[in-house]
Amino acid sequence: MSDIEHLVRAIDPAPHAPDQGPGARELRAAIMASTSGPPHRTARRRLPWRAGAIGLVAAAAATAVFLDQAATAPSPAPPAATGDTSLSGTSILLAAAAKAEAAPEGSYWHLKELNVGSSRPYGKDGDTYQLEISNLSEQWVGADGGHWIGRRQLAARPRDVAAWRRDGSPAEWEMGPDGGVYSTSPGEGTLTRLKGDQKLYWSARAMTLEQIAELPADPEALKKRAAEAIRSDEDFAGSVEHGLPHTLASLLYALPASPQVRGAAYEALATLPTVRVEGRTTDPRGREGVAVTFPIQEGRPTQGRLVIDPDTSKVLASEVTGMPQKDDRVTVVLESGWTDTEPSPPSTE
Amino acid sequence: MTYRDRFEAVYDAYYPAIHQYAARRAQSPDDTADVISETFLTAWRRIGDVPEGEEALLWLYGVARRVLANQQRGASRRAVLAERLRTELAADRPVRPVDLDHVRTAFDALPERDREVLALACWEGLTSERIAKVVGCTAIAARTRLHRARKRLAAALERQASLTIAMEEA
Repeated sequence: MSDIEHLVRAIDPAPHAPDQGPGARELRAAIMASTSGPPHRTARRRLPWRAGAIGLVAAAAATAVFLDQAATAPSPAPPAATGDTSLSGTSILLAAAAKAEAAPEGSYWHLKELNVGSSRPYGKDGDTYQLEISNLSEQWVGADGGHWIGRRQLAARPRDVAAWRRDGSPAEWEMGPDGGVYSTSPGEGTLTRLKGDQKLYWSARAMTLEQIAELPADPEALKKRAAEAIRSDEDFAGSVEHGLPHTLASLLYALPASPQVRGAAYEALATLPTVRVEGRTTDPRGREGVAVTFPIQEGRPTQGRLVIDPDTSKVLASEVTGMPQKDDRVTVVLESGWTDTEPSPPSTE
Repeated sequence: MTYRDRFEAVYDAYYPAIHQYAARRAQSPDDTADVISETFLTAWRRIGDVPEGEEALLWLYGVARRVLANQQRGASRRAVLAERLRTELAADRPVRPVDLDHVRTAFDALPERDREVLALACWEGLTSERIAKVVGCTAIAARTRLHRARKRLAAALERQASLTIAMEEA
């Protein structure tokens, strides 16, 4: 070996092969529990297109039932706000802050999200269509330390049905060079229990339930803590100011913050100059709310967009728009709160 | 052997090598965990395509290489699968000997193509035939690239040395 190769070897950033720690073993289990594994793929491959098309209808019906349930689930909504008041942006956020409901009780912190995105174009040259790709993702953190994740790939749907028919109405589409298929039938729901202590991420900072419970309920103090969390993310590219809206917003629905802290997060958002209240809108499920937008990265068109129900202060949806060369990412928040219901694989029924 | 047995065998055999490959190239422990999880998730999806024996490692290197090239920054990363692994990796940061900073500087200044083949040769210990399989070129092309990269690094180190002497004399 030449001197040069010895020198390069000497600067090896990871000279020692790591052992499989608990994290590595857990990853193995989580991957094998994931929906996109080979057994499903082979099974779906054998489906004639007709069966797939029936699956498409069945899945649509199941999704409708599922969304119906989500819509009619008992909600602790206080009486609706009076009339169509033209609140200024800041006061809408402050009104939401004031609506912080009483701390709900339960054995598990539970977050259930529906992620919706788009595939690359399929079809023939000049006659292409994209698929709507969606999955359910759930997370439970037990007050006594357990941590579960649930996932389920939902049926893919062509966004342009006419173009899909012209393409021969396929029921499956290759994902890309790394394999896998999108299918018109939903995948199976999986539930994985993660071992070890539960950690939730606030920006790049791993937090325990206790640490989240101890966050300050004062907007300025909370902003300071958010800035610290952002600085702990070594590869966050922008300025701390640009990380603040996104980081504060995550306290509104993605983490088990107390009602007081959620209120403080709304108040803190109202003080940020880059946060804009865009007015009334509906979320992807047709639920009415108010759109709030903010830039995510300095000098980039990428924007975060929340749809908030000002009556309950709940976040209905969280979107990322304007990503270069990528379609918008939409997350519908189906459930975010404490529950006594035991973790179970996501179902579409 | 079922798909599951095969995947477990591949994972257990090559986890350390892929972990190391990712740790050497990723910008942060978080990214390392994401590269590991994406690479093996791909292996799980395509377990039927993973070649037998040692060739499996080269195949995995090839996947990890593509994952690194495509890694998205920002809000969408941190797949929930690798959460626990990330916490673990965040705890152990690599220690870098200071006296080799000049080598690191010269290495980092090389074009990406040069760094890639040098790293595969010196860190992963691959021959040019095997490098060719990972990066998807002919063995002759890999050998040529490696030879040129070695020469460019040697030249850069020489320039640095003469610069240091010049500064000391001044």
